[in-house]
Amino acid sequence: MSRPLTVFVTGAGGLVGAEVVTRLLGAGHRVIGLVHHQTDLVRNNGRPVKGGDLRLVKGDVTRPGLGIPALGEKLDRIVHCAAVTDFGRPDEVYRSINLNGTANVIAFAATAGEVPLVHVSTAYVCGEREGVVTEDELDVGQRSGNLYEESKLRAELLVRKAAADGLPVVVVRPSIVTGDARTGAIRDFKNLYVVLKMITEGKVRSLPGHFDASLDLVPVDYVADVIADATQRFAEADGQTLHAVGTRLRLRDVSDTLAEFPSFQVPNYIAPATFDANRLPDLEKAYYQRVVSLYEGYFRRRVQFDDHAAAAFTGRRRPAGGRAYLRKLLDHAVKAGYLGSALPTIPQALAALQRETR
Amino acid sequence: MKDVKTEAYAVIAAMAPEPAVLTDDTDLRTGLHYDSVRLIELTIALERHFEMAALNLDDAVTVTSVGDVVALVDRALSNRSGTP
Repeated sequence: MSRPLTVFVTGAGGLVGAEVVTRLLGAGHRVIGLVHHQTDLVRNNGRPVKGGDLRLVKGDVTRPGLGIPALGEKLDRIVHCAAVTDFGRPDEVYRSINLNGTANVIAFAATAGEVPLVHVSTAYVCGEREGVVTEDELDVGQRSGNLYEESKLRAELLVRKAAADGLPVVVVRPSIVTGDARTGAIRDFKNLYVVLKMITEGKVRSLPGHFDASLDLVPVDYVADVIADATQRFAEADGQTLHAVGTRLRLRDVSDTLAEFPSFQVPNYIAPATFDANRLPDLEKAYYQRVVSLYEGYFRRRVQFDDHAAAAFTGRRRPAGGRAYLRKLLDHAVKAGYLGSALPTIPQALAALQRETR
Repeated sequence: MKDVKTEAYAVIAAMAPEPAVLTDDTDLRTGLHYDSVRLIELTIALERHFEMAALNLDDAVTVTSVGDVVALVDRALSNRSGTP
């Protein structure tokens, strides 16, 4: 190995961040992890990140200078993982963390001596585009699917502007980050998992979408591998955007896979043009409007992410996806008690209250 | 009608993934194992139980304890009674 690097990782406590830190420590580098409140880092498999040359610093990307005192050491790389990735948060949350947070990280990199920056974006900066999306495309006038995607698009534009002004930059764009490629395990059930929960429990039975729409699911370990590669071999990737994506899965395949689980409900897809949320039963409408509608783009988009640059740079094989991978994810979620659990429904809980008060 | 706090406590307890003794300081996530979906379900259950209009989700995002929920319901109910 060449000389060890000193790498500053934002969002070090996050799902992707902790896995990136693990890889960098494993390769013998020194890591300074920026955390918001965590005192320990936990890997995706639930085990603590330990061993290696790790220093954690409490700070906040929304504050100028990231809210940290002078580090007193020279940085070789910055990896910007910190972001809010939940959907349905107020716009100011996305602005403050995803957009201003990125602006603050860029300023921090510049002040620290134009430190090479690996920026973690999302493949879904493509918004509502259809067809093949290449790594060198960014703002082509697309409409964003939600406020999260909008904030990540604008953050990536800031990074590109900084690159044009001379900051060395590599952008890594994961698609929908899901469980480990081999075990299906995931530390946090968020995002797509929330939709799967609503659907499989039959809380939302009808979705506006197309059977041939596709989801791109990528294992968290592969995403961390690509980011760690870009960090360590930065010069070879300098200026590039790398799609860290998986294999696309059509909704038809999702339904067929869900149907293999006896306890799961399988959704009906209704052509978006004729779908009307107001015609759903009351409770389903509430679930639809508050949760599932945020993810509507997932059921409609027919998009495919080209990853020629990533493949050429990493030399890694794109992770095998398809139904076998989805089955692993579902198996893990059931085993962990996230899916298929038997919590009382809202009507059941309220009815029990009525009985108690009578 | 019993007081709002007692009723809100009962709804929170009935919906809780892990039952526990409730106080105003009980944390919904760490104390009662509410996750993001179950929190949304809790807001729907509260709306139905108290026959309120939709609770403001922007407020709901900052709700972390049982006491926060009671305050949120209290505010929503007083807004309602203030409307002609």
